[in-house]
Amino acid sequence: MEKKARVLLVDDEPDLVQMVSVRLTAAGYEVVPAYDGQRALDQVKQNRPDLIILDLMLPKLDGYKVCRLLKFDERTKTIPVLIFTARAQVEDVTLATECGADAYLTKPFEAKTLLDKLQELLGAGKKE
Amino acid sequence: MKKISSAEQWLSRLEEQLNLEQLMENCCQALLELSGADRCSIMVLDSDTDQLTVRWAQGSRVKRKGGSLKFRVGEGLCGWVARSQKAYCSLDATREPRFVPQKTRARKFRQVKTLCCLPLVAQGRTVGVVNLSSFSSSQKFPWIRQVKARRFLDRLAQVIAHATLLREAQVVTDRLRQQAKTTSETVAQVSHEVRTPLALMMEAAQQLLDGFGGPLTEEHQMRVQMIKSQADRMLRLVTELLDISRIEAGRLALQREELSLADLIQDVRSRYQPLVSPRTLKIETDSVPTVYGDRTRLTQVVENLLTNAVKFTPPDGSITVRLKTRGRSAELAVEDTGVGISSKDQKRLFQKFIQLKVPASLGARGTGLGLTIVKEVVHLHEGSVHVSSEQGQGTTFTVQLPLYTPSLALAQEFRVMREQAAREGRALAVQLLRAKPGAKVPFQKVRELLAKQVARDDRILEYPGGGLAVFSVLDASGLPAMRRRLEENLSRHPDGFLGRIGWGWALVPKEETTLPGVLTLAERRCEGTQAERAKT
Repeated sequence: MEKKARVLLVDDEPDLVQMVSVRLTAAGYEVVPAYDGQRALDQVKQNRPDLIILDLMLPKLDGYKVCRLLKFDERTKTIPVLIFTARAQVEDVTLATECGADAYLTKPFEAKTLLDKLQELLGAGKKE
Repeated sequence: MKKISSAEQWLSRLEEQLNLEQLMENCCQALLELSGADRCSIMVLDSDTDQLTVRWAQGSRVKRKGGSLKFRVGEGLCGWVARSQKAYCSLDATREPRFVPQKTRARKFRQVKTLCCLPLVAQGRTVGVVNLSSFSSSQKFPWIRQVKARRFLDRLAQVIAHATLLREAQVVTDRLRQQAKTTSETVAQVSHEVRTPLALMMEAAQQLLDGFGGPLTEEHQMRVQMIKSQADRMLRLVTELLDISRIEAGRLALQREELSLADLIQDVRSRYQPLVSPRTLKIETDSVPTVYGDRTRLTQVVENLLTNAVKFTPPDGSITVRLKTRGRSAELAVEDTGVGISSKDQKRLFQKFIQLKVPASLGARGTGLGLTIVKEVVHLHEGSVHVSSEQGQGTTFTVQLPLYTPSLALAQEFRVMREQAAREGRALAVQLLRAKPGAKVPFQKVRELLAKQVARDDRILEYPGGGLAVFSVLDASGLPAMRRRLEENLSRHPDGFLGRIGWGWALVPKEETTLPGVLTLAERRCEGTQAERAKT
C-alpha cells in the first residue's frame, strides 16, 4: 500500500474545507486544513505537504502572496500549488500564473475535475 | 490684403485645434498679431453660472493661463458687452464708469489706455468676450472696425463654442464611464461573493446524490437534484451578469488571435453533444474561415446559440451548425427545427432579461442574458448577428465576422490599444521588426521568442508584407527601456536574428486616429536602422 499523499487545503470558509475534505479523504488523501495565509505557510514548514490547494481571497496573507512566497523559496518551490478560487476572470488566472501557480480551478467545482487535477499534479511531481 | 490672408491662415490653424487651452493661446496670438494691441485676453462665458472667466491672457507683461479673474454678466465693461452683444471701445478705459479696476493688479490696470471689448457670439448666444488693450498710448485698433474682422470674430466664436462643447461632452463621457466602471466593479465583487456559497450548495447536494449521507429515496433524489440545478442556474446568471457589466463598462478585453472557426465548433460539439441529445446535431462546413477573435468569448457565442436552440427544439428535432465564407466575412449559422420565434419577439430577443416563452414540454429556463452576450461579443469583434424564424418551422441565428487578414488585425488592435492608452492617460508605441532586404527571417520563431518577453498587455501582430508589429501602452519615458528589452531579447537568441532584422518605432500621437501615418514613420525608422547596421 502506497503512503497517502498529504494535501494542504487552504480556505477561509470552514464549510468548504469540510466539503472538500470529505471528497479528498474518500479518494484516499490525507487532508490538512489551514484557514488563513499565515497558517498555511506555517503548516508547510512544520508538515511538508505533497500538494497545496490554495484559495486566493484569504485573511492575513492573500493567496497570491502565499503562492509567490512558496514558489520563490528553494525548499518549497517544487510543491505543486493548485489555485482554487471563485475568481474566474482572465486577469485573475494570468496573475496566478505569474505568481507561479501550477494549476487553476474555479469554484463551483466538479469533484471529478478536482480529483483529476490533483492526480495530474502529483503525477507530474513524481516524475521529476 | 496681407493681414486678411493671414487672418484666414490663422482661422484654418485654429479650426484644427481641439485642445481648448492651446486654442485660447493661439486665438490670443492671432488677435494680437492682427489688431496690433499690446495685450489680449479671452473670456469664456459659463452659461450655468453666468460668469465670464479669463481663459488666457497674453501680450505685454503677461502670458498666462487664466482662471482667477471672473466677472458676472452685466458687471464691468466686459460684462456689459457680454449682455448687450455689442462691441465697446474706449480710448481711456480707467475713466469709464463701468470699468472695474482689479485690486490685485491695480497698478497695471491703471495704466490701461485703450480698451476694446468685443463680444463673441455664436448662433445668437454669447460665448465669450475678447479684450484688447493698449497701455502706452490711446490707439484705435483700426483692424477691428473692418467687416473682415467681424467675420473673423464670428468664426472664432464658433470654434470656441465647438471646442467648449467638445470639452463638456468629454467631461460627461468620463463621468459616465466612471459610473459604469464602478457598477462593473460592484457587480464583480458581488459575483465573487456569491460564487462560494453557491459552490458549497452545489457540492453539498452532489455529495448527497453521490451517497455520502447514505442512500436516498427517489423522492429525496428528485428534490436534491432540483436544489443542484437551480443553484447551477443562479451561478450562470451571476457569471453572465458579470460579463454584461464588463461589456457595458468597456472593460471586457478581448484576447484575440488568428482563429479557425471550424476547430472552435468541433471543440464545442464534443462538449455539447450530451446537452443536445436526443436531438441530432449536424455540422456542415463549406469552408474553414479564420477570424481574428477571442477563443473563449467566441466559444461562449456558439455555446449560447446552441443552448438557445436546444431550448426551443423538441427532442425529435435537429440542430445544424453551418460554416461558410461569404465575401470578406465568415458566416456561422445555428439552425434549429424548433417552435420558431414570432416577429414581435425577434425584435426584443437580444435585450437584457428578455425570456421568451418556452413550451412547457421543452427545456429549462435560461437566464435571459445569453443572447445579449452573443450580440455584445459579436459587436466587439466588429461582426453582426441576425435572426430569421418562422413559427412552427424553426429558427436560424446567423453570425457574421470579418475574415482574418493581418491588416485587419493590426487596425483592430490599434483601436483597442489606443483606447486603453487614452483611458490610462499613457502613450501608445508601435515597434516594427522587418527582415532586411534579402534576409530570411523565421518570424514565427521570433514571435514566440518575443511573446515570452514582452509585457502582459503588449500585442504582437503579423505585419503585412513580412514582419512583426508590437503595440505597447507605456509612459513615454519607458520607450528606451522597451527598445533595450526588445533588442536584448533578439540579440541573445543563438540564431542571431537581430542582424537580419530592421527595427523601427513610433509613438502614436494622442489625436492620431488612423494607423497608416504612424506605420510609415516606424517603417522609415526601420529602414534607417537597417542602413545603419549595414554600415557597421
